[in-house]
Order: sequence, then structure tokens, then C-alpha cells
Amino acid sequence: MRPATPIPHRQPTEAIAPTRQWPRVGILLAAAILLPACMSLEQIAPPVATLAAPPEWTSSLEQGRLIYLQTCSRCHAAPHILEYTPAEWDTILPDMFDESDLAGPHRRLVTSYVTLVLQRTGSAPLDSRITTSAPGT
Amino acid sequence: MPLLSCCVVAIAHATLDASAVAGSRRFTYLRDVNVQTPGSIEFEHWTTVKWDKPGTDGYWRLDFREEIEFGITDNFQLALYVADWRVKHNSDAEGTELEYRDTALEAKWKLSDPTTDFLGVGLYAETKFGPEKLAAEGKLLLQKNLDKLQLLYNLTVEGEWEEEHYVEAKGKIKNQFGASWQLSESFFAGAELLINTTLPSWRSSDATTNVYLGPALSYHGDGWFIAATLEFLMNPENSNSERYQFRTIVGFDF
Repeated sequence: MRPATPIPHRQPTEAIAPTRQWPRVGILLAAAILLPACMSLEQIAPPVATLAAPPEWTSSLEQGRLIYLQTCSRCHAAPHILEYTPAEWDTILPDMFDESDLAGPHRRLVTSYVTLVLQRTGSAPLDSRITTSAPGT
Repeated sequence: MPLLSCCVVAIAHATLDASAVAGSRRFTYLRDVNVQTPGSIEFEHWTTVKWDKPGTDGYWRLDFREEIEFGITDNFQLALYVADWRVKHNSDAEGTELEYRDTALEAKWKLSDPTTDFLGVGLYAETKFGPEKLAAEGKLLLQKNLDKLQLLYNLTVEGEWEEEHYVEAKGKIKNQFGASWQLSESFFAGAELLINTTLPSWRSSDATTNVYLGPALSYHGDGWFIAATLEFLMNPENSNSERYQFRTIVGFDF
């Protein structure tokens, strides 16, 4: 008769003290609250492909979108373009251009992109800047 | 007393007017990946106060830095630290001394963007030279911006040679983490975690590690910014370093 195999004695795992748990719980809690509150880049600044722009303007508008996102977020979160009205953007853009020391050609690219977004979403009048000139000109 | 001096400096700067807006910081101990716009110049004044050191009576220390940053290209900036100087109160018996430490040069490269790329990556190099101090420092900067949330990591390796004839050598390795949330248009709140290891004569057997953690607040005004961090020593049982340190940076663009 084969002797019964002894059941290995398992050491209870060391309990984690509550004081050591709080940083992890805090980080997880903060992530759970903050991450869903973050908007995606597509929500903040719609991709040019979704704006039905003339193909010859696509490259300049893409550049304008990139400059918008990168320059704004050097100091703060880039704002959702549709959070503001065209009239508000008329004041915001020149202010922010000055604050960021953005070069002239870059200013025009950003203006064209923002105007197109506002126009395509029905926020801007149809005769706005984008319809009369190509981006960056 | 040192805290009061620090607040006075901060308020004095905050009330000054400036003509343009600074490339704003959210953290004071960590460096972000972004660089100054080409052609732009920024001035920053740093104040760090440290206090409560074991085995000392009435110890406190105030460190000051004046930095001028120059944007060179879209992805590169240079900076000059005009002077690193300090006021140190070793003990009530020894009194207070004022000391010029060094002047420093810095270069920073942005390799990828923290908002539009998967991960923002930057490289940073700094060299310090003074009558009793030489130092060379390299940093790897990693950053991710997720809308209002900014996450940052700095890995620093530093070599220092101090005292007369620079005979006292030591190495420093720092792992530093930061997270900051934009609460309003101008106000940011977060935390900085600093894990700083010092290796006297580069010997790992003599290494000591200090862990600091504390809140980081910043306000970006019209033409200026202020950032402040209060750090608490988290491993006082293993460290002879200061229990508390508070740093504020005020910046202006020109």
C-alpha cells in the first residue's frame, strides 16, 4: 500500500498592512476618476479627414491641427474647439499667438484649421476666411 | 523664517508686470519635454528652502537660481544659470553664511511630442562650474499629456566634484515622477515623487536614498507663471537629510 502523500503545508501569505495599501488605492482611485474625464485628441481637434476639406488643402490643415495641439498643450490642455464660439475664437487666437510667440505662417495655418472646424460644424458663417483663401496664405 | 522669506520673494515676483507669457511649468523638481519657441527668451527665478535636519539645531538653507532660457529651434533650447547661490544657517551656534556655488549651462532636446505622439521624449544635459564645485548631469525625460492630465518621469544621472581642488566626488541617480491635473484655465494641481540616490565616490556600498513626496501647485498668469512644491521626506528613519523642502519657480517671458 502506497503511503499517502503528505499535503504540503502552505504558509499564509503575508497580509499587506493597510498603511502600505493606501498609496496604491489612491493612485487607482485617481486614475479611475481622472482618465475617463480626459477627452481624446479627435474630440478636442477633429482630424482633417473628417472635415471634407479640399484635397489640396489637406496637408496644410493637418499641419495647422498639429501646431494647434502641440502649441496649446505646452502651457495647458488644448481646448475643445467647439467649446468656444467663432466670436470668442476671434479674441482667443490672437492672444494665444502672442503668448506662444508663434511665427506668422504657423498662425495662418492654425487659423485656417480652426475656422474650418467651426465652419463644418455650422458654428461659423459660410463666408468665413476658409472659403476665400487657401490655408496658410 | 526661511519660509517667510520664500513667500516674500514669490509674492514680489507675482506682483511684477510682464509683457508676454512664459512657457509655463507645472512642476518645480521635474523637467518637462517641451522647449521654448525659437527666438523666445524666458527668465526664471528659483527659490528652494530646506529645513529640519537631524542632529542640527535651528538648521535651514535657502538656495537660489536665476535662469535664462533661449529657444533655438522647434526642438532645441539652451539655458544659462547665471548664478546658483545659497544662504545657509548651519546651527544657532555657527550662524548664517552666504555662498556663491556655481554658474551652469543647459541644453534640452525634444525628440517627440507629449500630446500628439505616443510618448514625449526629451534629453537634457547640464554642466555646473564654480570655485568649489564641478558637475555634469544628464536626464531622460518622458512625458504624456492626456487632455488635462500631465504625467512626467525624469531619470537623472549626475557626477559632482566638490570642495577645494574638487577632491570630493559623488554620483547621484534620481528617479522622479510627477502627475498634474488642470483644475481651471490657469490653475494646476498635482504631486511630485523624488527618489534620489547619492553614491559617495561612486560606491554603491555607501549609497543613501532619500524619498520625497508632496503636492505641486502652479498658476499660469498673463505674462508669468508660478509653480510651487512642498516635499516631505518619506524615509526619515534611513536618512540624515532635511525632513522638508519647498521650492518655488517664478517665470517671465521676454
